[in-house]
Amino acid sequence: MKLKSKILSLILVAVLTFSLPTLAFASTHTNTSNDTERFVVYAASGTVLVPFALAITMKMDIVVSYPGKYITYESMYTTVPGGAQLPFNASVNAGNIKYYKDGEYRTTHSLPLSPSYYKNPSDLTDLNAGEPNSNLADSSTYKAVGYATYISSSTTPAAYTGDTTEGVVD
Amino acid sequence: MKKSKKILVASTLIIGLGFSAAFYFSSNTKADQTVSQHVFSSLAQEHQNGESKQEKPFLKINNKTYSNKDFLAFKESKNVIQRNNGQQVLSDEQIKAEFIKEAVSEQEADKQKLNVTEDEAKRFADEMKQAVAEAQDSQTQQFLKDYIAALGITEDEYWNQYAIPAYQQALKIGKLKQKIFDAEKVKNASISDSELNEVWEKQQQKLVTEANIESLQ
Repeated sequence: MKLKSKILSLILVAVLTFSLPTLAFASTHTNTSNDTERFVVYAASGTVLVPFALAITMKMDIVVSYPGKYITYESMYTTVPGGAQLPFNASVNAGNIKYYKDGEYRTTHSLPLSPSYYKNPSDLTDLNAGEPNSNLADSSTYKAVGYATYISSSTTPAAYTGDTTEGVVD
Repeated sequence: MKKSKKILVASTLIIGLGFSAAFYFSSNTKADQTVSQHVFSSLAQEHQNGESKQEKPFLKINNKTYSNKDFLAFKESKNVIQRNNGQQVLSDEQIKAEFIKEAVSEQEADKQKLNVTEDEAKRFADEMKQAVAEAQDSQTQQFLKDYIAALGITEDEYWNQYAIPAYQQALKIGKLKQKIFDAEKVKNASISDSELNEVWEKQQQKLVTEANIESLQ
């Protein structure tokens, strides 16, 4: 009986020794990067082509879980404010996130999920997100750049791609 | 000897790469210039042909008559967009369908009293003029300069005589679109942009179907 309780105590100590520090330091950190880029497109209206000044806003969130520095969630939210009020059809697509380490390109994470979100009917909007991705799981610091593209076959240029400011993923 | 060979190889490589880069960038710039020249020389030619034609009634849409010159000017604009985007120009039938869609949308906006005053359109035009002047991309300004030159008008004429009525029409259609989108949003809070675009296209098609369209050629 005594031996059994001693073994149980030892197991308990071992479990606590190994799991407590992990539990104590398990945390998540969200790296956010925002940017707005302005551009001009030309569209036909009445008898002439006229310019329309647009902006593409982008918000990139990268949630990193510790320990192990594991990316648990990535998302890109983009809007063209007032874009739905344009007299022509247009859309905006939240694109991929590219990762760099020490200035060198490492990998691109696609964002296959389309979570639901509140949409302002005056704006063009898009939100895409990525599933947990472990191909950058190490202790390095990465830089990430997210992309979003405005598209309309009724304007020239027909597309404009904006990118977020570099987000530091740590 | 070995060292001098290495230096020679390295120099040859650097010079070669330099020439390649210079050729690449200059050929790209030349290609852009060629596209741009083609776009605006075609526009100038089409515009001159249109100007030389006698103005005649072309289409009657819900009791409003549109002339052949209205249609040709719309076609010129559509052709500039297609050519500048590296696409084939649309057929006359496709452009006519677009022209009718725009006309019925503007008429519907008028019917619903979604008015845009000349002052409102002028203020918008002033904002756009400033945005073009402040654009960091020099192609934005060059495009407008070349476009105005191809039409054979001055910049003041463009902004004061042509752009204001064009914005009046565009803003009216924008207001109609917004009204439809707001109503859809009430019905379906999670509606997407593509679904809203579908709603707009269906609405425009409905207006076209219900319209009384008469060809006057």
